[in-house]
Amino acid sequence: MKHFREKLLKDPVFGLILVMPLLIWVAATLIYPVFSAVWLSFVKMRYIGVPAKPAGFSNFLKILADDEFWDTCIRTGWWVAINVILQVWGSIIVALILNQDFKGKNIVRNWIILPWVLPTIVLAIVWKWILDPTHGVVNYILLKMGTVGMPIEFLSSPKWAMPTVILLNSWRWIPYFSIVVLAALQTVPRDLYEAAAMDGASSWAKFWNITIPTIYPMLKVVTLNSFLWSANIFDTIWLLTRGGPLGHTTTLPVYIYSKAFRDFRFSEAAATSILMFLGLLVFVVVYLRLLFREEGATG
Amino acid sequence: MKFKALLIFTVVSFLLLSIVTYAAPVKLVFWHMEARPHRVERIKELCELFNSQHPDIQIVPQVQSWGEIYQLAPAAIQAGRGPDFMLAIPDFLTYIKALGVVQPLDDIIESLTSKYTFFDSALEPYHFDGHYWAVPIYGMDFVLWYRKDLFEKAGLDPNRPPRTWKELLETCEKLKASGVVKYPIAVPGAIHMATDQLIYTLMVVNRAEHIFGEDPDEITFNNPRTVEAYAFYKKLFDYSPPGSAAWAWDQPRTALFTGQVAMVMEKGHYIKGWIDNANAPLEVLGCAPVPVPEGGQLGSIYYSNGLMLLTKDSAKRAAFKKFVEWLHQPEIMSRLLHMDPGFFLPVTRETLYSDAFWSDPVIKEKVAAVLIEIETSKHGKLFGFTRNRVNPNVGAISAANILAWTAQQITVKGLSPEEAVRLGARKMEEAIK
Repeated sequence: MKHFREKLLKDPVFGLILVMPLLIWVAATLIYPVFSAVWLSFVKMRYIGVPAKPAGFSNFLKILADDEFWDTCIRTGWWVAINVILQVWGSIIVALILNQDFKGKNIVRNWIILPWVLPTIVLAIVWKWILDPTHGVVNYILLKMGTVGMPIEFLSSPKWAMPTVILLNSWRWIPYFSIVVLAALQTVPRDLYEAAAMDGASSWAKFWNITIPTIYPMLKVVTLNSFLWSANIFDTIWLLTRGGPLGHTTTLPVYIYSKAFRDFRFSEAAATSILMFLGLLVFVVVYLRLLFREEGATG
Repeated sequence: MKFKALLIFTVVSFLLLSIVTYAAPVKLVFWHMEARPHRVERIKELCELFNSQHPDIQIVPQVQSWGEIYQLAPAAIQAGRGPDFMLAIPDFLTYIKALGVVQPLDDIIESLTSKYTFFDSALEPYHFDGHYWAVPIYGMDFVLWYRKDLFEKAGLDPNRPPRTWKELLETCEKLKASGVVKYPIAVPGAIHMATDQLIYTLMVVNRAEHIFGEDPDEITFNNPRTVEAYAFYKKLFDYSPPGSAAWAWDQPRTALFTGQVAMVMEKGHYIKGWIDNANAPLEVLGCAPVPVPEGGQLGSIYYSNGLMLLTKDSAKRAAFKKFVEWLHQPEIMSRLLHMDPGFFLPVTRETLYSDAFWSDPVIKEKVAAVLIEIETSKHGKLFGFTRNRVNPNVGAISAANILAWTAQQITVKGLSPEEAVRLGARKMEEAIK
């Protein structure tokens, strides 16, 4: 019986049978929609359910000739870059604080995850009211303190909307990445710090020469995740500003949604999503190659 | 033995006969987008009443949201999970009709018009391509809501609301100068249907209601009267609280109910909203027609909501016919309209002049406001439906909120109304390609 079980467990066909349900699930929920999007990008179809006409590469050419698409790409680049920087460095700082011994540490560690746990819609509604120029508490305080003469239009002015949405998005994700970085911090051997202290190393030197190198592999993963998730964020932006005012917070996912469900140009939306997918794929491949090369160089 | 065989034969025959003669009720799934709880409840109540009076039919109401229906309905219909009939507004109907599932309702309209007189503005938007495609059930339009208490405090006559654009701006100035309110009026400015509707209302009163020419592909949006309407909107926007560029339905309402502003132009749901939320008695809420410019006309955006049939099943069609005929009886229809008194306006003369409609206590209290809404509805217009026929391109323009987009070119980007309207016209031309 034991022999049979061992043989069965080593049998690739049995393994395939075991993973088959998952493969079917993935095929149904991922591969089919992807192929459907690819097909849609090569036909002309304005509305779901109406007959499609072959369109070749015309949808792609139309999108590539659209200034709004390129503006959105540049805006998405800024959105991702600033979010990644804020989220990675923010999570390091928060994790370093949480890694200290202080009273109530466990409570803080549990509660800090709250922004990440709460549904986006709840956060969006709450922040919209908090930041509202006329009814919001932030402007009320700023006006009372005399910091500003006029209320700040955080979500409706071209100057403030993007920085505000970036800050709110990073605020939402920093807790999650902090917990990940905190887990990595706890693997740093204490004796390294003790030895460095005996050598007279400053706190900064210990952080830069011990902490960062030790958690570096985890930071690479955090950076990659932060990049991909930021690039794909739709709900936070849509719920806070719907990509406005006048497209000032429109990133590629919002652009794609607007093309599909506001302009009813499903084929062009599909073509844009394919272009975005290819762009992300190139980034991930380059990033992973650089990582592997780095790891190869360091042995 | 013979008796036993006869008994078995009788029992089997009886059972077979029972199966044959038993007919399950015809079930119709009904999607509506009146998602506020009191409206959901009233529609459910009425469907249950109909079902109890018609045991052979079962209407099953299901609530959806206007915010998602443009995406949800096509997907559900394609997947074979769509409703048998659903609520529609004219431009949404043109959108769903492109899927080829909307059924012509000429026989049903003929039967209804033999008993009831529909208002043209309610029925005509559903008549195109040689057929009627929906049965109108209620209409809605814009009026000026204002707070009499704030008018009084500012030294203005609370019973003399502004009637012209000039007076409206003067009233704004006086309210502001009095210090009673910092921001005299609230206007929505987001790229949203709320902004579209206000802008179009200003266009209507300024006689700029035609967005299309006689040729459905010709955009006539870029004209001096439209530019004037946008220029006036910008003046109102400057009196509106900061952040209005992101405002849609709820924020102007809150601003008026809390006394932060003194005026808002909106539809009739402010009456029920006021009762439920405002900090002052209902008599404080004043109502007036939308102010008109010199040389303008009384009016507003006006559209009726209708029911469209999405199934070819003849039994379901017959059941649908029974339902809409039942619903249009003035007593029943009044109960439906009273789900939000003063908001939903009758679409037939019979309901309008019925005692049942005027019996609601809220309507009795705000009778003047409801009369203003009804009078305005007679002059109401809807973009894409102003040339005595439906423009099939209107769905693409309204879904993309191009009227509101044009407004943001002025309020956010700082362009002149002339330049913004020129860009808006170009965007419309692109949208209908």
